[in-house]
Amino acid sequence: MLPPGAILVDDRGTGWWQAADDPQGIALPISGAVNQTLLGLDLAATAALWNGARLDLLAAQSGFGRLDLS
Amino acid sequence: MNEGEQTGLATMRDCWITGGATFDLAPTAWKTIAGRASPDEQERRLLAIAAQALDVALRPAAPKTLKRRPPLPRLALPMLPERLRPLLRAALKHAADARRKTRVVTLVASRGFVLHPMDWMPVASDQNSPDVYAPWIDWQASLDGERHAPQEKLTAENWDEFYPTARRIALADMRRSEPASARILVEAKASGEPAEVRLALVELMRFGLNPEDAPFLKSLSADRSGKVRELAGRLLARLGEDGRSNDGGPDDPAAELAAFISEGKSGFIRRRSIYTPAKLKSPAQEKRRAELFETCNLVDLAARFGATEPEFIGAWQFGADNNADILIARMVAASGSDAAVTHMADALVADGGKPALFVLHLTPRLDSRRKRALVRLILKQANYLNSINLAEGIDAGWLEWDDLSNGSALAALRSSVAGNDDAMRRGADDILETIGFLATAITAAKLIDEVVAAGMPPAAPSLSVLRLNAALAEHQSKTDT
Repeated sequence: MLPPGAILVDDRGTGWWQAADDPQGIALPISGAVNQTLLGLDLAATAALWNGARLDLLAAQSGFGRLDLS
Repeated sequence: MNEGEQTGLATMRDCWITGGATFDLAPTAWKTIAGRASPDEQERRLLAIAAQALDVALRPAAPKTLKRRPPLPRLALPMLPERLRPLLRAALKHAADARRKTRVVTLVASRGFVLHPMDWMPVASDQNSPDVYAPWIDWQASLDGERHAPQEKLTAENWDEFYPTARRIALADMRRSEPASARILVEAKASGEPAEVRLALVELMRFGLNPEDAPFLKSLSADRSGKVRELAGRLLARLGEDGRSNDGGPDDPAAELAAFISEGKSGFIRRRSIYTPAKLKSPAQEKRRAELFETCNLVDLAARFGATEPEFIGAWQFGADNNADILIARMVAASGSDAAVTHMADALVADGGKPALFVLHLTPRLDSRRKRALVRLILKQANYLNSINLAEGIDAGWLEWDDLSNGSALAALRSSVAGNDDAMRRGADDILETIGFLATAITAAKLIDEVVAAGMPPAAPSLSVLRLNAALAEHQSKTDT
């Protein structure tokens, strides 16, 4: 379970999850392509699986309600 | 962790895999931690350190240039209730193309809801979705997110503060209520925009088009863009004015087009003119005639025969040449005056039969009442029921049960569903999808019962829009009927 955060992208289009209150802190790379709409949503909580190198997003709670990301 | 350390760690891992001891291969700092223990404990400690190193040190580091998109704006309508989202997703899945998906979105908006952004998002170039989605279209199109669509009225001063879609919608609204103010704004700002944006701005002049717009439209004959000049010419033609400079001359395209049309007389007592497409002798002539119909304006063509636009349309012999009928219908839609458009629509719908289908080309120019009359006629006749799928820009959620049951449409649908003809069934699927968009919630629910009773599986995907429509019943907005 990840705390409040958001999805960001790097120059190559790879998505990263980053904590909301720690913009300079840890960022976890996301496996696979990221839905562009997610980039505009604040995620109050995110459920994801860490495979040792990448994050597999499962679900999240946002201002638009629950998001099924699996 | 540098490359040398990573190579060293890989060597240690290979050693463990083959069953050997790795203490001598470990980095000096690790030996300090593990060195005071027994050989077995040394290996366990090194294994623990290596596992941490792999998990932490080899995790990809985030680049410093991670970009965040601006927050997705909230829309003016509430989100579709969670319990209806599965029905919505089924309807969207069944909708084969963007046009059909937009119809589903429009149906939901007509009942006072917007979609969840993870179910559907408009694309940046979208111009057909309901206006309520303008903030999302601009969000899709924006790269910097620095501008915010202001709530105040659009003016020359705050022009740049509006996103393009918000500006387009504000201008369209202004054209309906204060056409002169909107025209002055377009006049002041369009020249500084690129051709593509200028074209979109001038296109908005079709809303509330009136004779006062003529001087501005005439001034566009000097525009740098050929498309803008052509559009301005079409709009002028709708006002009954000729934007061309070569009228009457031998090179006038309207004169060349007139040569493809035969003028005759009809009636024994009151001889009146009739216009019939001339017989063509070659595909090249057919091609040339089509080009001329596309480029000429109705007012110029009618003038070649000394007729007004409604007189010319009223005397056109529909049914003599299907291709020519389609071409003239498109010409009327593109450049005909409002009077010509309504005259043609009213006359053909009143006469009924196949020629009424040419009115489908006029639907972008027709008011809501006439569009509904056309749909009702198509349903009543039922001979050309599939053509209902071609109707554009029709309102959602108004078709009553009587509109379906009074004519032959319902019987034709039941017959197609119950029959064994796959093509007929596919046709019925498309019609049901379209009626799912047009129908009231009560009509949708009744129609589901009818076609299921006729043999359609209750869970058939082609019922998905009807099911969504019926489920939205309790939220139906108070739209006109």
